[in-house]
Amino acid sequence: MQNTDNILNDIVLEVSNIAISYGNKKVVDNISFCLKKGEISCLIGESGVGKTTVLRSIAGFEPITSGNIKLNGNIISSPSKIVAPEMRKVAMVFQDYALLPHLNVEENISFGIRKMDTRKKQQRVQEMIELVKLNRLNRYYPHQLSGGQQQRIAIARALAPAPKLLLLDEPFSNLDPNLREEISIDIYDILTKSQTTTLLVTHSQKEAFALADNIGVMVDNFFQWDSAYKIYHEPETHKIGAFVGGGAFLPGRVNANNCVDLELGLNYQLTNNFPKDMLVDVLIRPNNIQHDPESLYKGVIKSSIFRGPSFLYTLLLVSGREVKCLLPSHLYYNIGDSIHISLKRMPLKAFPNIK
Amino acid sequence: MKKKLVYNVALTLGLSMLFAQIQAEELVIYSSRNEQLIKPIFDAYTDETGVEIKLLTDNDGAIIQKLRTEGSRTSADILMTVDAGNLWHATELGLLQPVESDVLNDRIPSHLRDPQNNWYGLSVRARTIIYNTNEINPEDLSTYEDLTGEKWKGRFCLRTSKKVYNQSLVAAMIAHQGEEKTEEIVRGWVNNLATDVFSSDTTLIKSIAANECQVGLANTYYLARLLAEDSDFPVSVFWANQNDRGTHVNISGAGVSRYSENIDAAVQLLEWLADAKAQKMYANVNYEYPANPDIDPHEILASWGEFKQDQLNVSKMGELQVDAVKLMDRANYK
Amino acid sequence: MLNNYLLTVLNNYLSKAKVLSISLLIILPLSSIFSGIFDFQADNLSHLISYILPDVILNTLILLIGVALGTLTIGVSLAYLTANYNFPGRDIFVWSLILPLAIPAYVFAFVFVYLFDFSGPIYSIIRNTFGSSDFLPKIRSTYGVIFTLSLAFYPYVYLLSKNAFSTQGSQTIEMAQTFGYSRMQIFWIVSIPMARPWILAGLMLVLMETLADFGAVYIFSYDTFTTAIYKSWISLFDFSSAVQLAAIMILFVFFIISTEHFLRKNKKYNMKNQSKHIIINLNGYKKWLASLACLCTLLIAFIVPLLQLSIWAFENILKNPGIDPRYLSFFLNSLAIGIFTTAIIIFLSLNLSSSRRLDKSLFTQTFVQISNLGYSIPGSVLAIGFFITIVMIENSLIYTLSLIGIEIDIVIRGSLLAMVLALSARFLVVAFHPINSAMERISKSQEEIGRSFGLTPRKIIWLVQIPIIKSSIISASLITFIEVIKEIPIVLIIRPFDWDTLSIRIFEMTSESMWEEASIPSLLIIIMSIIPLVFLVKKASKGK
Repeated sequence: MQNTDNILNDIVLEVSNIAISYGNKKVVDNISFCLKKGEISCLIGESGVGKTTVLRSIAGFEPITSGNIKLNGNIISSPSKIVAPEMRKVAMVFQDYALLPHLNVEENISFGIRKMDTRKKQQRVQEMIELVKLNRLNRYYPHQLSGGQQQRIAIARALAPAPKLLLLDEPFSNLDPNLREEISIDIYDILTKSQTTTLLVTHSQKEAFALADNIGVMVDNFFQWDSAYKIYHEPETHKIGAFVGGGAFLPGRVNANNCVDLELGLNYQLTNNFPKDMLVDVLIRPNNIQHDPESLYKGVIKSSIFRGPSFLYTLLLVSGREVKCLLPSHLYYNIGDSIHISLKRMPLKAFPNIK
Repeated sequence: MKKKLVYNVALTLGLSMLFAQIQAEELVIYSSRNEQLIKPIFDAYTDETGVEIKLLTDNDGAIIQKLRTEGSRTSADILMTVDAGNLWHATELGLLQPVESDVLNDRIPSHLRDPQNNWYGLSVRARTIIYNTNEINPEDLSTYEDLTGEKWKGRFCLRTSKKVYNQSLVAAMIAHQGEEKTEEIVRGWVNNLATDVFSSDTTLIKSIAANECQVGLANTYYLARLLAEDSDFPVSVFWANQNDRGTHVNISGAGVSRYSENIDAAVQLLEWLADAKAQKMYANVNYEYPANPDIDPHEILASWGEFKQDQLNVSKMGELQVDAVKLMDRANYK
Repeated sequence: MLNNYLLTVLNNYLSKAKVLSISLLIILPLSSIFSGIFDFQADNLSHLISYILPDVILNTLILLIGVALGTLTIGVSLAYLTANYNFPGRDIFVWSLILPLAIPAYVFAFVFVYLFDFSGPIYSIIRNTFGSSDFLPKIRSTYGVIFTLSLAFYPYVYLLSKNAFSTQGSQTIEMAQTFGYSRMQIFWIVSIPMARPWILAGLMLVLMETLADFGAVYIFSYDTFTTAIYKSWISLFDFSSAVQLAAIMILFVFFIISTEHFLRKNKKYNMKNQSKHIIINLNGYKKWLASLACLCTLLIAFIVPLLQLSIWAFENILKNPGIDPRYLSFFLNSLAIGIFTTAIIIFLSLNLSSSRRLDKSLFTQTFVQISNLGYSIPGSVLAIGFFITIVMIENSLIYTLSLIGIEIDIVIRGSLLAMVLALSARFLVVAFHPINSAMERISKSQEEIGRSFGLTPRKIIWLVQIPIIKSSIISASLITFIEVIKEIPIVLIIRPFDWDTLSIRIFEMTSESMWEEASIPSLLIIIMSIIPLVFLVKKASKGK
């Protein structure tokens, strides 16, 4: 029944409308999303918004108060029924890695595959060690290794039993920034190579955009689950738009053609429909703005971040509002310089004005 | 500020104790007899004579080691212990000195003091047969040796051989009848035991009352303590070996320390202790028999009637203690 | 640059000198008793070897294994329960389960033998009701001793392993759950191995105390190695043989400690651990079972002995109305040596543990171990050692002064300082183990941060290490304090005239087997132990 019914046979995880409460306080509400086999997805959001709680509910550590969670089509959590964490075959990598200090690398990695026969186990451990590039460190104890190496042991341990689903809780937060980028690329390789369905919690958008096929954003009690592209270009709420990707908003009034006049130009088309004369905030992404010596409009450089191939400038407009703008790095300005800019002619995302 | 104060107080306390002084006019007594058993008597002595008494109690073994370690610099004038064996051992180690006192020689019978007058017994502790009055007809009892008989199998109780009282008893038996005979008797006892050996006379006596066993060996003052609380307690005393050598006795006693500088005062205290008033207090406080035969014992003790004491000099028991211990080990008396 | 180098070398030597001087506290008394080791009587020794030692060695091993299993079972399981689960009464059990520590082992033994012997009240009632009590087990048996000592000593294991369990964080448990391990499996293969240094530290204290115990085993007439030591000394008048046996025992302890140390050489337990500790609510019958387990332990190991002591104390007061007014000074004296000694011991433990961390040389490691041997030696034997040392120091001081023409009698024995130092040497290990275990969890980087801010190793102790291991210091102080106020032989032999403590009162009362009379000082010692316990527990729970 289930199999014939389930045309989306390759859906591994299905979270439908779940809510989680601590006492009377709802920490998480109305969250739904699906993970397909082999997909890497991310939950992002401000800290304290309940991302880790969602992850823990999938692992079975938090009971849910409404909705349900299905793994391979079987309900594993609902308000009335909860499959114990140890029965789920969901692997989780914890923020602190939770390595066992009294076991060496090999023993830590084989921790999750105790039921395999000895030869297979050895083989699997060796595979994992090679996968995470910890060769020749088999006999070392965790305390003798660096943070990045410890991280990779934790991943190897989680992957060893070939879990249906891998959960990663802020996996890179204990690493220093330089290491962070390097390791996250490594881990991405490992995960894609091993075809592991993965859900990752992070507070770094950069990581999310770098790793994830789909992203779930949790901002201010609202949840949007979409491809990275859509999250960036078509956020569903004002706040998600503000949270993701460093956007800015410019106010305007909708005219008859569903267009809007803005401080940086007139008659811009909107992507979504609004009633005439409505006041809206229009989302301006850094890439919407270009350097344009011909333009009438100007902005004063308030701050700049060098990103190698490009600069991210924050510009102060005449009205006192700020927008961000990404310029090739040969266009170098000092703070206080005034530059000519224009807003690219392309449909823009807008939200009802909040005030 | 506060920390500094605490620090200073600690330092002062430490230093002031560092040079604790001992005044010459006092008598210093090292004792392994309990403080509460002798303190009232010494208080009485101080009231009577004005001589201050400093008392230091410790275990038998430790107090002798202490005296030995201090050597000539000891402040002890008198060593007081609860067993002749310990006094004998202290004498062997040269920690005591002989005393010339006709008063003491007169008041304390010769078998209760050291032949060289290094120490004197002050109270007598009789170790004899005790029995359950509901279960045993005292006419069936006679001697320590008789307890090896078949009729006592599974009815007899002993305290551990580690207690010096049993070591002294066996030592006395060795003195009287030789090692071979004694070992046979001890084996006979062990063979008759109703239960594992007890660690205290009191528990042993209570077990006899509870009928776990019916006959045992104990120092009489333990029974007297129990009788003082409950006069219906169903255990009584049988005086062993009245038809031959007499019942085994040990002493608590004292001697003058080898390096005492107050010999006269120390001897005076001992003489006073051997006298009527002190003897009564000294013995009665623990239901022991006065060493001085002129003094009547406590009424509970008197109710058991008079008995014939073994006249073997108690120092002999110290001399033979090591042999006795080894003999009991060989006989598997735990 | 050269200056810095010299400074490092100098610091290294100073640290070694510090460890050496602390260890002298125990080396001097040990060597003074061992100096007479060859002065033995051959016939005594051969007697001991053929009649005593085979039995007592077997007995001692049985007792050690039994008490180890007993205290581990009770201590670790209760610690795991109270550290990880919530159930009715947990808040009270958490700290009250430590209380049996306040009852000296020999008092335990006496109360239990009184209560559960053939002639005791319980068996008598049963005999009167059922006509026989022969079907009941005998308390005066191997099982009885193991049972009693396990109840008396389990708090060491409980206290230390609870410390470990409640700081492990829940992530490792959850991690293991995701791999399909049941809670029971996790307990055995995750929680226990991770708590190993703490559990073993507690167990080591239990074993050392069991080995050195004389009072309790005497009451049970259970002959151990310590019994043989006392037998040689007191009954055979042969202190040298006694010392020889003691030496064998110390070597045994040293061997065990070193083996343990060697076995966990490679493993560290200082994993980063920021995850919070989650306490799970137990439901249904499970929560009542948990309460019942705690309650039963507390009942047998504390409330029953406490009640019995109270009954005796009450009877005593009825018999002799009015309490000896000297009890106030006994109480204050106990309090004073308790506080001073605990302070010194904590100070020494911190220094030793810190030196051991910074200096891995064989020299330092060995002398740290030696410093901790005091606890494993029977109290009276060690007391003599201290006394001999003190008198030797006096004699040499007098001699030295007489050389420069000063004739003066110096009496150090009987000083509070000497007593406190001797007690410190004896009980150092009681605080050292928990502090050292906690110290092992401080990561190197935490110290290096301190170093990078220019703190000296000494300041690091105060500013980095102590704050991190505060809770371990508190529990270490507590056990030390309780141990010190219970101690008898050292106080007996070194104390000044007319200076008694509560424990000395217990000695006076019990040396003629008048156990019931000892109930009042025993109760006062228990009360004195409870006060700081309650205070510290309140403070700790507020801190959370």
